[in-house]
Amino acid sequence: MDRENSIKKQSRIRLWFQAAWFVLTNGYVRGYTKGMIFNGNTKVICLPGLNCYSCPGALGSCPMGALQAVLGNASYRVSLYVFGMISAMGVLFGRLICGWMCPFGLFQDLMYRIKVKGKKKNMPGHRYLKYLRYVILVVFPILLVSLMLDVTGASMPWFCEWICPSGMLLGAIPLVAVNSGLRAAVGARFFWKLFILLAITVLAIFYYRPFCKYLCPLGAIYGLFNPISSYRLVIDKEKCVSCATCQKACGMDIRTFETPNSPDCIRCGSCMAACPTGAIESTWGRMGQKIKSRCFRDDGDILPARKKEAETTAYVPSDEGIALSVSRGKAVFLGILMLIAGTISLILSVLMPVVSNLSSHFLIDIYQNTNVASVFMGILWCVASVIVILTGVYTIRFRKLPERLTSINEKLRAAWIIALIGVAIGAAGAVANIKTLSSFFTPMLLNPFIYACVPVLMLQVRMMCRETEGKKCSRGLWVIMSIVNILLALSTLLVLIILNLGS
Amino acid sequence: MKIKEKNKKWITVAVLAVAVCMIAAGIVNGEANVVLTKATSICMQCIGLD
Ligand code: SF4
Ligand code: SF4
Ligand code: SF4
Repeated sequence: MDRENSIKKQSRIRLWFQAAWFVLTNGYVRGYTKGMIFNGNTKVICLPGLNCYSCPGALGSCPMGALQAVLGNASYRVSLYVFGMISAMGVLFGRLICGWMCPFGLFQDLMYRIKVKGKKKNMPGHRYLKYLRYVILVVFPILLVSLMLDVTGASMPWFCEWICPSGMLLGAIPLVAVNSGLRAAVGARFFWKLFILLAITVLAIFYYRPFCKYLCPLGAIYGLFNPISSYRLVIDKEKCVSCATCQKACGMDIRTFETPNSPDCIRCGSCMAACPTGAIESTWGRMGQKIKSRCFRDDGDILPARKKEAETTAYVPSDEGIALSVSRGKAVFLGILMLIAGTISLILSVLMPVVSNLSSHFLIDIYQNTNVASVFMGILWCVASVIVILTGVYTIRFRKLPERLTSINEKLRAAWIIALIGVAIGAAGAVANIKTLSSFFTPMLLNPFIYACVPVLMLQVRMMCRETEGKKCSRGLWVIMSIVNILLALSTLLVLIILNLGS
Repeated sequence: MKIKEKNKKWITVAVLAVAVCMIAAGIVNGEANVVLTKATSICMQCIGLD
């Protein structure tokens, strides 16, 4: 019973994540109401799933559509850009994208939840049909697009034109429903694609994810990355009793205990929730556990490796306070890294309100006054940065934290809350004020990136505090986090460059 | 062929590095503009109207 509950809970979490992801990446509300599509610069970036760029709300591109657009362009015969993007997403996530980040995957999951009699996992002929997706991948978006050229040397997006049901569901239906001009242009091809969508919908009620299993070329590509992607499943051979409970729980019908990284696996996680011995883990889960145990080791004691150091200088509680175990050189170095990260963020946050004040076309969906929201976010960011920077300065200046500052945890909690509010507002802003994404300095888009630094900085400071309490914190990890922070800040600049290139 | 878990990490990093280089080369090549142009106007083929 417990297992059943945990499978249900896991599937509920996944469903909510899928829905949230859809809203985040297809949140251009104006598009749905006006029967038009978003035309901002973010569309230069491919979304991970089969997410039609003709969906009125889509803020990014469809990888398959983008691939065909470049291959079918008379000036290009190969698409490094799109292949690069698909490979990067594939090697980072593999088919985790299918399980968690694809709107058409979500649609099929919802269909399969409809209660009818005679449900099965696989369609008849599953053994052979599952290779059909590779045939479709090679033939439609690659061969036909590359070979069937018109007189100008250009080609049609064959997969979009004849097969893709996501284009019909996310693009055609909402557009045709609202836009009378498009409605007038409906013809035979529209009904052909509607027929495909309806057929897949009916099949998805009876069989689990038929389109993903047998037809989707994007899933076929991501599947090839499953064995080497950063997210993989790992079987603990000691714990596994080969009971095949995982296979029973798996909608894709994979013998997880034998082939945990099968190209068919959509990383839904049901097998992990179902396994009675907890033998299935993910590489990310393992990494998370490792980081947690390294950051916050609650032994309360000084670790043996540090004992010598402790006997001489560090960790000796005194009247004045508790010494940090970080040597002066390292403290200066780490402090400077922290200061750089904080300063970059601070400068950007000061810039953002200024830029947003200068920007002429703020169309507002949720906020009545976006500039105020922008300034507000800037202020939040500044406060959080100042707290972090001051703590860094303390570390450098005094090397040891005065006793009274060990109560810094309290202040940190406040900073955490500020940071989290910042992240939430940044994300909400991105959705609410999507039109501004098309301007060069896209403040609303950048905010979530920048705010992402704050929790990392906070975690660093928290680790510092743990050090003052004589508990082990990995300094290597500390440095990595500083670097991550700088990269996050730099990534905002990178986004600017990419958007600029794309405009 | 079984790839050792330890080696997988390096393969992942290497493939990611190649992918990033491909993206950069594609941007320099002007492919990003093609994608943007296609994605910012309604694709008639996608919605079955062409
Ligand atoms: S029709 Fe399908 S493949 Fe084409 S752009 Fe839309 S979602 Fe992508
Ligand atoms: S197989 Fe295709 S449609 Fe299915 S979830 Fe993956 S990308 Fe989306
Ligand atoms: S093997 Fe596990 S994670 Fe993969 S599809 Fe099956 S149940 Fe989901």
